[in-house]
Amino acid sequence: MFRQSFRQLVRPVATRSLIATPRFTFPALSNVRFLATGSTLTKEDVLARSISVLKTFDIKQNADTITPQTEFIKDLGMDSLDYNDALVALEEEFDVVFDDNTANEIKSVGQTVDYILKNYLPAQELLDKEIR
Amino acid sequence: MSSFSVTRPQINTLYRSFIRYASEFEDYNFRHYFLRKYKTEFRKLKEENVKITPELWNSYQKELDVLKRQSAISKMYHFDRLVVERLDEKHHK
Repeated sequence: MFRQSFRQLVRPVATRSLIATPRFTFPALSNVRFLATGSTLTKEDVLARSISVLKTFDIKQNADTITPQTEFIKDLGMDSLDYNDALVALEEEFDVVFDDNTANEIKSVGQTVDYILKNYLPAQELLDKEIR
Repeated sequence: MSSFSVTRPQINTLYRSFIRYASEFEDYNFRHYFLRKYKTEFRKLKEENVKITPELWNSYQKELDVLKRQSAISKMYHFDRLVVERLDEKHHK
């Protein structure tokens, strides 16, 4: 008798709570970051990602005001060592390598963005797909 | 005696190579140790305006070779990520 009344008590509550709060919620699709298809890396993408990399450094200027014309040493208050750190961080972000002559001559954010766009290779699996 | 001089771009290139290879270490502790080591070392060179002698320059070249080799070796082994590491390295926010 006890068992039966207990079941009656518990069952509706259990089913109701299961319906009300499903245990697994899937993240909204808009939160999932898809890989860019093909080699379509736009200038805006590169600039935005570069800025988010530069944000991790100790910079003089507000990161939101960085434009392609911003210069590392003059505007961001970096010295030559910080500037090289930033270049290596950008290399890691985009999987490119700045060749020595370019790296020693680059002054502005825009120049790095142009170099990255010119030298960026899409992820290997995308290249494979294109070949097939 | 031939005069030995190292230009600023050459030092920048050397520093960049050190940072590049140091950040390739798989293991967090080694990676951050070497990054710290070379960042402080080069900052000291810059601030104290140390004259680069041929001996110093050659010793750095040798060190760079060692670092290059060791970072390559570190990639042959698996290191578990530490709790302080980000799973997604490219996520900055």
